[in-house]
Amino acid sequence: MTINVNDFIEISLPILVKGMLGIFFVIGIILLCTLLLNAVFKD
Amino acid sequence: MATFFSDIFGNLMNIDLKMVIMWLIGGTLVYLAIAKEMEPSLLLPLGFGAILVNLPQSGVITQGEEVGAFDELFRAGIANELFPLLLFIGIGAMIDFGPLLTNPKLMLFGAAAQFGIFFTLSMSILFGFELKDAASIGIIGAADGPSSIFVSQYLGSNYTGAIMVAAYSYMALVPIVQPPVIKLITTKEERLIRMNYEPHSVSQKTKILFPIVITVVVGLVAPKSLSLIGFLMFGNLIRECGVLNSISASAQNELANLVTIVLGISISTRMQADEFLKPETLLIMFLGLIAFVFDTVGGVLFAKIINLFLPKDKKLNPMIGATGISAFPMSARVVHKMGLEEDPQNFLLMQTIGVNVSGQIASVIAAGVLLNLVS
Repeated sequence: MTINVNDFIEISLPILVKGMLGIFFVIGIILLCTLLLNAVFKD
Repeated sequence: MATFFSDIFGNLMNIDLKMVIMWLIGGTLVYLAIAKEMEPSLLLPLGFGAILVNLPQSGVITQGEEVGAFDELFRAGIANELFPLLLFIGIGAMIDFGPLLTNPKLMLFGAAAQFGIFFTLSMSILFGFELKDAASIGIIGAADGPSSIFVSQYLGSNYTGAIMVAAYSYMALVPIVQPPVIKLITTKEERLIRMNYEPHSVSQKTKILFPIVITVVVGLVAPKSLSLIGFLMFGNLIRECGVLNSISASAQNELANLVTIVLGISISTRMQADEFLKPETLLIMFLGLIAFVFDTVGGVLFAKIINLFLPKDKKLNPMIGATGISAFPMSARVVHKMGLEEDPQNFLLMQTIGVNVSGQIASVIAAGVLLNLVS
């Protein structure tokens, strides 16, 4: 087993940041759509 | 006579130590499934399959020209990701998005609790795994078996068997893994925070349009999630449309049960001794635990950050953030119970169910985002 610090910094950290931002971005859009649906189709 | 014994018992000479170790592992999985009721629907076929594929000259796996039944099942349903997708129809039909639609802001906790996926991917890279394997190990943090199978097969990971064992084991161990982590990063005062639940009715039209809109939005933004989210939301649409009740019941019961049976034994083809008994398997089990721990940390810390901006009477109980993982409804029940242990009048169930359901959507989106970034 090798400890791969260079790949950790160069590959995985950008994926971590982009991944979390990506999830929040998509969930944010879904949240807006849901709020819109709730507002338009009130019971 | 010697030929007779050699014909009947000759295969015994092909037994080796690795096979015996795999029988013990398979037996342990069967024991945990039956005696401890740990994800029995998956761990039992997985454990029994692990024994079958590790018998010498096993007829269930391909031997030379003769194609084995398990290998054929794997090719027909796992290699092309069909079984996990079919299972998603059943799961979608089981989910009631009502508590989430009542309070859509809870979705943000589902997003935060996917942190363990990307943290574990980073740790896996640090320990020297290739990117495709690191991403497949990271997705254990989705706490969602079908997503784990889908991603690891899509990326062609070499460790599908170990990833499945880790994913389903830790899903069953949520009541043991989450409480100590939550207690470690929250104060007694935070755990005592009460949250008012204000029920709002959600219209039938919203419930029907929600799965359609989500599928279109996710398909446009993260196309690699489309098959996952599409099958999940298709199942939910069957449930909510109100005119397919018998099909909805079939999806929730017969379809989900049938797929679950073949899913476990199909995956066990990846538990052959030569493939499974590697030091990396132990490391993957450890990284799987890291994934669940940091999912919990991500959700709880996000709630604590949100609390910094809320007035005193509107503060959130940060424990609800931990339920943003996809292990439904176990995680919601665990945190609800923790709330009651701190204060017998603190009922968090509706909030935790809402966050837990959002975790199911977020984990599928996380899988798609991960595939977009990695493949």
